Amino acid sequence: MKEELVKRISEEVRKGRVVIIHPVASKKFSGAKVSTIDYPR
Amino acid sequence: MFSWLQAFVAPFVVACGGSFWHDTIAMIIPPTEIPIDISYVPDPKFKSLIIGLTFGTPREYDPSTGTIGPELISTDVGIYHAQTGYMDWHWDPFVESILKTNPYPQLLWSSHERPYILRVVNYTGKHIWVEATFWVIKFPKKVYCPIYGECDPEDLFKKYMSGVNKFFVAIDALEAKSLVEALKAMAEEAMGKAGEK
Repeated sequence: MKEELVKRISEEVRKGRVVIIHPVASKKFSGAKVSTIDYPR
Repeated sequence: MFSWLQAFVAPFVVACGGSFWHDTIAMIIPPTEIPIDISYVPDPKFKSLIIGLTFGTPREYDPSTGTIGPELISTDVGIYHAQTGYMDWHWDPFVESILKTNPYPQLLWSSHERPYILRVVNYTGKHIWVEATFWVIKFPKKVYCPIYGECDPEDLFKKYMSGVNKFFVAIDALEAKSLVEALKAMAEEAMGKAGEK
C-alpha cells in the first residue's frame, strides 16, 4: 500500500472514524463518522 | 450464487433496461464502543435494486504501518443493516456462517432519497480491515411498460412479482388434466399464428 494512503488511513482511524476506500468513495458513501478515500486504480 | 436471479428477476432487468453493477470497497474499522452509521447510495442518477452484500475475510490492521495481518473471525465485530420497507434491522457478525454463505437474496430498492444503511460495530479492541461488495442492478428512474406506460421501476417490479405469484397460484388451482389442455391450446394457437406468417 502506498505510504500516502497508509498515512491518511492512520489519521482518520485515530479520530475514531471508519475509512472507506473506493475509486469514487466520496460520491457513494457518507456518515458523521465516516471518512472516504477516493482511490482510482 | 444468486441463481434465483435467472428465473424471474433477469427477464425484468433485460426488459426494463437495467444494468448489473457492483461496488467493491476496502473498509478499515477502528475499535469503537459507539456504533457507526454508513449510508450507501449506489448511483444518484439511477434507481437501484440492491441484490446482495458480501464480505471478504476480516483481518487485523496495523494503522501505524499499514500492515494487513491475520484473520479475525469474531462475534464482537460486524454490521447491523436494514432497508426501509424491505429488510428489518439485523446483526451480521463477522463469523464464518455469515461470511461464507448467501442463503437468501436481498431485493432492496435504494435511491438518493433512501440510501442503504449499515451500522458498524467493533468491540474487539483492534483495527480491522475488511473488503465488501455491494451487488446492484441499476434502472433508469422511469421505465416503459407496454401495459402501464411510464413507471417507477420499483412500482413496476412489485406488479411484476405479484404477476409471477398469481400465475403460479393459478396453475396450482388447475387440475392436471385441464393444465395440459390449456397448454395444448396455447401451443396450437402459437403454431397457428406461426403458420399464418
